[in-house]
Amino acid sequence: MNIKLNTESGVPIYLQIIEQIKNMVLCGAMKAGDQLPSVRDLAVELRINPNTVARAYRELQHEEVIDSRWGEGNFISDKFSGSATLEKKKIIRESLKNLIGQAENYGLTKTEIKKILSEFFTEHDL
Amino acid sequence: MNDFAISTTALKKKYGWKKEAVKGIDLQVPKGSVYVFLGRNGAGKTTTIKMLMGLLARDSGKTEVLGFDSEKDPVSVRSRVGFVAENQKMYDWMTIGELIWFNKSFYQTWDDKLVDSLLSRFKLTKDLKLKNLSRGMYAQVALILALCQDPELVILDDPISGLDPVVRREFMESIIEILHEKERTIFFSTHIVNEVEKLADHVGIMHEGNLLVSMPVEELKNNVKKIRMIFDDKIPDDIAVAGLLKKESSGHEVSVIVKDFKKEILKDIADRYKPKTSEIQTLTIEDIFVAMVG
Amino acid sequence: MKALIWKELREYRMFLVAAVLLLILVKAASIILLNAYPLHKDLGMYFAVTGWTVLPIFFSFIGSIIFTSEFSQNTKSFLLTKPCETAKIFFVKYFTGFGLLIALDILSFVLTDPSEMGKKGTFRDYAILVTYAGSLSVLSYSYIIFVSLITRQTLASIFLAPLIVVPELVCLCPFMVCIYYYCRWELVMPLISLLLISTNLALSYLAWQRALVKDIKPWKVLARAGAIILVIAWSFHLIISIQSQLQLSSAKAKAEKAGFDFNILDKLCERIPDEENAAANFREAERKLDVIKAKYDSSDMAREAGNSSVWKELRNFNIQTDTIKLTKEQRAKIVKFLAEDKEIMNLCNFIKKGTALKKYSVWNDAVKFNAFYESHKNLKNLLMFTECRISALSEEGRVEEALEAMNVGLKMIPDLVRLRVYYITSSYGYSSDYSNMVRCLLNVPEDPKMIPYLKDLMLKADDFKNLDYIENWFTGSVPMIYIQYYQEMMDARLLQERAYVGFDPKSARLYTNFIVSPYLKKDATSYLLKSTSLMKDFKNSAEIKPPDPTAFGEYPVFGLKEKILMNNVFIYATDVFRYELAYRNDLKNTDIDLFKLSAALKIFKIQNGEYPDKIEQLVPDIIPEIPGNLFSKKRMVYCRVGDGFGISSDMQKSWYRSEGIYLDR
Repeated sequence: MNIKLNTESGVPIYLQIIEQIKNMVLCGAMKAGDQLPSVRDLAVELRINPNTVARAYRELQHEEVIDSRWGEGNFISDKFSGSATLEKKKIIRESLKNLIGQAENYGLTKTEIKKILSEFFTEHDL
Repeated sequence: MNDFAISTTALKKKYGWKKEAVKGIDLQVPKGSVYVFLGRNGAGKTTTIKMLMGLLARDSGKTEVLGFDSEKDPVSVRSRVGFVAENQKMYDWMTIGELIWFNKSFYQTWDDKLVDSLLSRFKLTKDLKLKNLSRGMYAQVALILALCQDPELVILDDPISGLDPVVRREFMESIIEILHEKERTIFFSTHIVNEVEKLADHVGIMHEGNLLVSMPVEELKNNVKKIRMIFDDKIPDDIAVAGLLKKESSGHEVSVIVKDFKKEILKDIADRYKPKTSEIQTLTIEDIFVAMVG
Repeated sequence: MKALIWKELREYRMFLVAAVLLLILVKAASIILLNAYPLHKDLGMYFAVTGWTVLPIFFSFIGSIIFTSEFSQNTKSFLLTKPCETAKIFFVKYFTGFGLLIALDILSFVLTDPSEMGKKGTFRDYAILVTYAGSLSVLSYSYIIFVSLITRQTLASIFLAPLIVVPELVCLCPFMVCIYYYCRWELVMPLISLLLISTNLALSYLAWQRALVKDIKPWKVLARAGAIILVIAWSFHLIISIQSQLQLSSAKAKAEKAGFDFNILDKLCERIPDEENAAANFREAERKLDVIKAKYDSSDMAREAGNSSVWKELRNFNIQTDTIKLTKEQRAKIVKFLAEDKEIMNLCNFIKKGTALKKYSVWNDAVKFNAFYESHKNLKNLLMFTECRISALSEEGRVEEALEAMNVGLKMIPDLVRLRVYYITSSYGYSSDYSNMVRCLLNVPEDPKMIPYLKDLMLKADDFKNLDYIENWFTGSVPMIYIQYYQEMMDARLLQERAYVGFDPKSARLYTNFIVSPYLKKDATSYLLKSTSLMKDFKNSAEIKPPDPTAFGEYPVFGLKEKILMNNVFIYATDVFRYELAYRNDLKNTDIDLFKLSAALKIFKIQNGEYPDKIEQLVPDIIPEIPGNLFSKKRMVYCRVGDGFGISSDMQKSWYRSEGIYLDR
């Protein structure tokens, strides 16, 4: 599974896993009904504590991103796909917030930020 | 029965008259955790581990492993603990098969299937003689012996330092595999911190015979933070913060690493030194380690 | 455990194979070489010694590798992390090595023929040999293991192991002496080996546990263990010393209560008149003999003598024995010394004057029990010396001087017999010095000049028949009890002294007074208790009638005496004694008669060129009548034997000494 973990970011590993799996669903790499690797396999692959994987899967289950079918494994649920749009929006807004924050860090005023953004939108036909 | 796999109370050990290797430590390793044990060379890690395994007599204090006293009942301890030491010399004249047979005779629980699966994963066969193995393969054999014992606790004393990245990865994968099936505890002492960074859920740091910290990783990462401050004007010469471990400055930026971090500290710094911006960064275990003992 | 044993054996199979090959090689070499050089006398012995001593010790080195390589290969930490009691690991290693050693030893014993070492014989002899050789090998193993656990090296421990032996022996001395005292000789070496081996095993275990697990420095382990052993062994010695002293004191008290008089010897001495200067003169003779011996010791004859048993014989001027292989030159040198040395002439003149050897003077000294032995020994030395001198002079052809010396010798013999009186309780009889004198006599060259001297000797011999003894003192049974007591004490001491061959007197004395003394005291206690009970029995049995002495056959003394002494009924001792003395008197007189007859036969040979066919031919020219045989009441039995003759008081009963002389000259 194409998950890359960053130990330096300060973000707990299980959260990174959750994020990246959600991402995969949102960009279509995983669709409803696709099976996720077992806790053991993913832990081995990523070389992390199986508990961490288990925790991530539990959280995902709680958020109804995945279904855990007894004796069969973990599968992407169709409920998440349904609320995908909401989720996507949430993520993009989060990114934008980070972007604005970074701009403010550079000491840019709100006017300057707006200017940069509109220039960007014009160039990219948005 | 408590829920600690390893528990020491005021454990002390002195070599000769002067050299105090272990100065009274209270180490507690919860069951089912992956506990990484860090310390510089000569900090007392190997001495502590030897006392846990009953290979060295302690001067004072208690050591309890899986509920058994290491000194009074070392046989019970060793029959339940898989032990891999750095550069462990084994019988080079034996073949792998013979060594496994020899080793198996000591333990009541033994997992033959795991033996076969690990041997095939490491691409080893039973008829190879130990003296013909490379260093990596040698370490792998030692690991097989420890893991196939079906141990409740696995103690590893820096087994991966001298191994190449491929072998190292396979080593770690095998450990994780057995971690998954049953509740097992892993006690891992190493210098290659980044390899265990993702695996550990508890960390302990030894320094000059003292146990500086022993807590869950998350708690440690919340406890030790890096505060990054950017100043408009000249940076202040002295920045005194409670729990300051390390200070770095370059140009108009100062970073301090503090322990026992609370939000109040940040506020306090902001009030006192008035930086333009300040942000909190989480550190890796390795960074924390270097800051604490460097 | 199976796995542990397997591991030890598998790891060292190469050594085992090498050892077996070595054995086969040695055996093959022995077969080849013995067939190639059948006449080489010592070759067989070399192989036997190799197979029984050298190879087993060598194999003990192999056994020890089992331990030391665990250290040198650094695998001990691996082994110790296994859930196995360290004690188990130790014992498996120790006894696997032990088993290997025993197996190799047995193989070596089987392949080597011990008969070359002169040990052919019964199963018992063979068993003893096996025990000794095996003990040696196992001892060596135990020492090497112990030292290897201290040094952690193979070769170093092999060389250092002998250094441990002496301190350990010194520490364990009290136990070893105890074993030596209480056990039969065949068991002594195995038991002492067992003691040492167990000590080494315990020490090795201690070293293993402490040096390995508790991380205590090995030399500390050694020091502590050594101190403990020292304390235990010497406390044991102290306890035994105290106990034996208490026993002796209580036995002495009991004896005194029963009437044993410890001052009786001094009282007896008062009864005996002392000749003027007699004791001093005897001592003077002894001193002169010592001077001669010292002179001989420092001469080149001494240097040529070589090994010590030969030297011992020569030092006592005993050149007659068969054990010495002297070259012609060596023999000639000694003979010349004996014949001509000024000091020797001095001594002989002194003895000839006769005042040193007056009967009572010697007896006076001899009465004190220590001096029994000393005087007897010194007198015997003087006599042997004289006999040698006689032979030497004869060889040189100095006939007159030889016969003069014979006079001197004849003078000494009665005193010797008297001193032997303390042997009265021993059952192996009484040996004759006359036969030696006769041998000397018959070595004298056949020259008509000799005849007057020989005749003179015959007359003088009769004089000796009429010396009287202080037998009366012996005809009471109470004195007999004392004699028995002192006799046994002295035998014990004799045994001790015999054991000190090779020690210098100072260390021998240290050994006796310090280490062996409790056991000497125990002996004294038992003898004292026996004597006390004998005394009590004697006092309680006034009514008992003496038995009929003829009921035991022609020579009643031995049978009756044994019976009586075994039953502890001492009342009969008086009569036994009288018979004993009569017997001894008869022996003495018979000896003198044999001597006379031999001189007469020699005269006949000189006159007629050969010995007579019948002894009656001596009568009446040479000897007035043939003396009777006092034992069988018949004539002396005589026959010609080759170039010589045989003459005996009774030729048929030979188990206890029938007095006879068989000569082939």
